[in-house]
Amino acid sequence: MSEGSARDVPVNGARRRGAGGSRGYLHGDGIFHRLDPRVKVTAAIVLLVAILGIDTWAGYAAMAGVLVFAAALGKIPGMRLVKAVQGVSFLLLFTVVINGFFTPGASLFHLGPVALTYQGLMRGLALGCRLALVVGAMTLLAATTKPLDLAHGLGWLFGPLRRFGLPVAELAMVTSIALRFVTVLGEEAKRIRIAQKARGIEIGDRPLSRATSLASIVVPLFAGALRHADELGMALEARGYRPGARRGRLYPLSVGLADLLCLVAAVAIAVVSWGWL
Amino acid sequence: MAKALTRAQSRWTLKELSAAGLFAALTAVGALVTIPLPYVPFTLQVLFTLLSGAVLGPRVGMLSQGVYVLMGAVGLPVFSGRGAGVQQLVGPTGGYLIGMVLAPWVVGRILRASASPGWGRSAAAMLLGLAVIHAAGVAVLSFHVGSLWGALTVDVVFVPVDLLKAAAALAIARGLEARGVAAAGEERG
Repeated sequence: MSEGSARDVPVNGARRRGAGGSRGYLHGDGIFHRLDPRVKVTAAIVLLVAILGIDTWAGYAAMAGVLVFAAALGKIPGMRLVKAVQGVSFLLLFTVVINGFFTPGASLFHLGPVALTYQGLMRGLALGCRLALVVGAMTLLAATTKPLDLAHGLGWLFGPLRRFGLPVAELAMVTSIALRFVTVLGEEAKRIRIAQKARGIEIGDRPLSRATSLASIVVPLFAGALRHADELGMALEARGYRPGARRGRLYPLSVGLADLLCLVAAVAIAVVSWGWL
Repeated sequence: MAKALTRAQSRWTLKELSAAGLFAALTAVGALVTIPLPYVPFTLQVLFTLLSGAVLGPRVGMLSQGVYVLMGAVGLPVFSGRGAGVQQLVGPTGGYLIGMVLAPWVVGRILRASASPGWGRSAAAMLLGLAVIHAAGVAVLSFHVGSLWGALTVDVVFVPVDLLKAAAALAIARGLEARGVAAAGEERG
């Protein structure tokens, strides 16, 4: 399981999903795609800090502008951002409604025992804006960074926490194994479904029949998956893999001028948003 | 010997780590498999969460669910309902995710306390694990809603379906136990 293997060859399934789906990695060749994952993860966290520092409407609009501009720069379709925010629309609505009704202030109108307050509505809208911006920033990171690289970048970033007993190397490794298994499981589930269709088991549309037919997929899937995991552990052991040990990468990472520029831009945005917006 | 080597380096063996990765992936896939039931979305997440405690034991089970939540927190699309990212962790339903990390520990501890857990102990372990998920969920939800009662009424909607999932987890765990499928879990004692 070398981490470098996914650097130039897309992870099995990642490209297919990225091209058609509305989330996850989007295969491409924009400037953000080529940046060092460690730099991208750091820059994304700096951006999150920046978003938390904004508390004016102009600031939210400016930050949204920055994200849209970044998406255009990185050749990420703007629709991707819209869809990501749409995905959390329930959470957004919840935030606005809950804050609107449970913040004390001048009431706008009564609904039974509770009242919608002006202060609450404003607070809910502001929190909703922040939430949408955070989703946008994370979407840009996820769309331009392969999952395995993302795991590596995060592992690097949280490396110092090992001193406090947090098993960072193990967490990063388990994450990359899990990412690999997601595609394997998906393919296996498809294979089993086809095999069962061939034997005359219909996956019906009615909820109950779907649930029972699902059981006939889950059990074999489970047995096969446990075997896979066992084999993987054995293979790793046989090759002398040790989590947390120093090792080389197939495709070494390097921080270049573009990476530095990206970091400087993120820090500048954070400074502006905390100081002026 | 290889085992001794890995033990010295890490608190986990490689088999434990790969099994944890598998369960993190299973939970992620389980969250994406949605069976459209009226009113309540039915996903398999909780099933795998409870099962991870039973199959992997408290420590490794907790690791697997921790990784699952971590994957979602950094923006990978592994949570149900299309949302992902840190906002889910601090959002109104974030408590359920925290409970999902704690539940395998409870389930694993109860099951591993006996050399051969019977139906009663297994059922109790699943129920308590489920209780942990819902307790953590309600705690955070009530903070967002502002009233414990309101949070409980929302939570109660999910209880019947989750009981079904716990029953399924119980059945699968017993089945694996009967077939002697010992995944890379901890020793019992």
